[in-house]
Amino acid sequence: MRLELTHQNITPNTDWTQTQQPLEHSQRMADRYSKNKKVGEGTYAVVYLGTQLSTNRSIAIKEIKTENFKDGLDMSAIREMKYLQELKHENIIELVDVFSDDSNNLNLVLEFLPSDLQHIIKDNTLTFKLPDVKSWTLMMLRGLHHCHRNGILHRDLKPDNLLISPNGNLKLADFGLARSLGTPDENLTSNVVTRWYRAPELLFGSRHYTEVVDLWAVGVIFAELLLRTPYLPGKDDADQVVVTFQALGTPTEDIWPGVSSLPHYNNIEKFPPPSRGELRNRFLAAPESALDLMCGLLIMDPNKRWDTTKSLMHHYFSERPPPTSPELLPGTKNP
Amino acid sequence: MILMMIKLIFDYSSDSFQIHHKAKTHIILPTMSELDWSNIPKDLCPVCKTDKYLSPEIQFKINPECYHKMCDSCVDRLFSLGPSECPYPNCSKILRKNRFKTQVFADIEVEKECDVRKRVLNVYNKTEKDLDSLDLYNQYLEEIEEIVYNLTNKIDVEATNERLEEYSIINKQSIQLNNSRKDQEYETHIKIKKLKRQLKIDKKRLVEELKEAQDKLKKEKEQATIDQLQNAASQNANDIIKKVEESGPNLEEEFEKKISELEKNYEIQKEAIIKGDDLLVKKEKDIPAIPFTPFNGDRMLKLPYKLDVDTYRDPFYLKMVKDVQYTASGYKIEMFFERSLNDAFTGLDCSIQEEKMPAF
Repeated sequence: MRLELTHQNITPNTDWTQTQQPLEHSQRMADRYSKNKKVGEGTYAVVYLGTQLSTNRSIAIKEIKTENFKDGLDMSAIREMKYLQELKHENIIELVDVFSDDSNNLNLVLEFLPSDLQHIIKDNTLTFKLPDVKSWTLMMLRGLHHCHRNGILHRDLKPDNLLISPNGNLKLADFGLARSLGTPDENLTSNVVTRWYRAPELLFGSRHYTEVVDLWAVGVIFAELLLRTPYLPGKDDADQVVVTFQALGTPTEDIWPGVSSLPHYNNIEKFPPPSRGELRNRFLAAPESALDLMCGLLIMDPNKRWDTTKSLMHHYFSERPPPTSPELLPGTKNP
Repeated sequence: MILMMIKLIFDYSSDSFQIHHKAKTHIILPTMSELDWSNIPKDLCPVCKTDKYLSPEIQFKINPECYHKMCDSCVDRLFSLGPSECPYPNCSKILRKNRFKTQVFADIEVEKECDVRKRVLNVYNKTEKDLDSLDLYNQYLEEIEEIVYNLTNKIDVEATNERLEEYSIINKQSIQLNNSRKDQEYETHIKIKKLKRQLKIDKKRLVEELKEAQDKLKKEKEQATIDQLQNAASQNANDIIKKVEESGPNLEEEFEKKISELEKNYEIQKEAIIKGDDLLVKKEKDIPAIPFTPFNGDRMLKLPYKLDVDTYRDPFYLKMVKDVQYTASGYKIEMFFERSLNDAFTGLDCSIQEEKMPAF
């Protein structure tokens, strides 16, 4: 259910209200978790592996560096907290807790997820079968469906941000670029989503895009899972436009009314859209239904592109072979 | 001989020293015409004169057309633009890049024979079972050997090739059948090999486990002996030691049982593979117990609010979203309204319509 939408306390069992001295409280919070090992460092955060002492559960602690930010907290940390605390779903990373430690650093306690889809795609020792790809795509869409029905755009879907739990469940992570659906008077930045997974309306600099930008990314990741190599690997922003339209055809006013009025639509080389036969040749192993779904997700015009509901209802998921159950997927250690 | 080698090494190293001391003589590489083509050094590409010393990654390729060796980069350089003539003098064979391959055998004659044999056996692919008698089968093998011998030694090449061609046309169907059967046999063989390897790994693991358990048990027993000896000083020490020794689980027996179970399992699986049943077994497993639901049962079809865009008019926003910047980006005002209603209602989990209903 969607009751999580209330701005409830993210740790219902901690008694925020009863604590009078905030410092003492924060120290107590920090004592609930142990930081065991540093596993990664980014520009704005250090990630530690830890345990929740009360349950002995493995967790990841993202410590946000505050010293570098004179103007307050980093935007992505705020975004991550703001949206993750609202979303609780099997296919979305769980934000367990938030606390500030002795040195006044902000700590996000997240579910520990040991692997990601990028690793699995890159690992040459693993073979993907069609039901495996189906299972991953299904979990991706279910997680995204939960985001979208709560009016949240992820805006940075890529294999690196799709983490895999020890029992094989795929979870959307890294909500550092997420935001809620814009009101009509808001201008959204078009400089979102990692380049290879950027939807055409973003390439054209649209400022009023919608949640279907995420579905384009799902389509490209789906293609990547089938090919096991990035589908639209542009070298730079200009090259991304060329690569995208070379593969899928340049949109025109006929198939996408109004496209030529978008800010960056000028002097674009015209490529013909690929025929069904060409796509079949590119994705040799894929069944027709998989190609249907992929084409639906990669429709140029955002008005016509499929949303999560339509994608999930597609017969690709219900037809045989059924999706592999998560614990049997390649890359998960089978018992 | 050894003296010569030492001299050679000496010459070579002094050459390289001379580079630093402003060499008086230049090292002149042999050109195409000077090279002894009948006796090419092992690690030298006769086309570009690169050797293993200068480029350690050098790899030699040959083409079954004429079996002249040359290095990888020469193949790339000469044949990238399409078929071209072999660069060896007096060899006017036209070579194609995709036919080049790495030499497997040091002796080029062996390599040649293997290639020919492979080609012939691809066509002459009957097995003993396919022929009525052993004599006929021997005759068949004799025929194969004759063709291979003729082709490798260039005796009646044209006639032999014709013979091969003729046979392949006549027996087209059986050749295909035999080849696919061969593929299948190979697959079975690989599967069994994999199974065997797994069995070996499992066995090894069991042995390790046994050893570990034995060590542990031994230590425990030692400790137990000491403890009991301490506690019961009056009893005979030897009796206690004997008693402790005899207690505890029989690890060897358990181990034997596990091993025999593994072997039994292996035999069953092996038989299934030979019969081709393994695929069938797998297919039956595929049918899931729980029927598939796209949303995993988590879908809200009945919304706590009703959106009527036609009656709700927001002149400010409606005008705004008519702009092409909005329509071309897929922006729909309904989604914004829906989102606002969603924000308002889902958190409260109540429906005004339902609340308003008269109580009975």
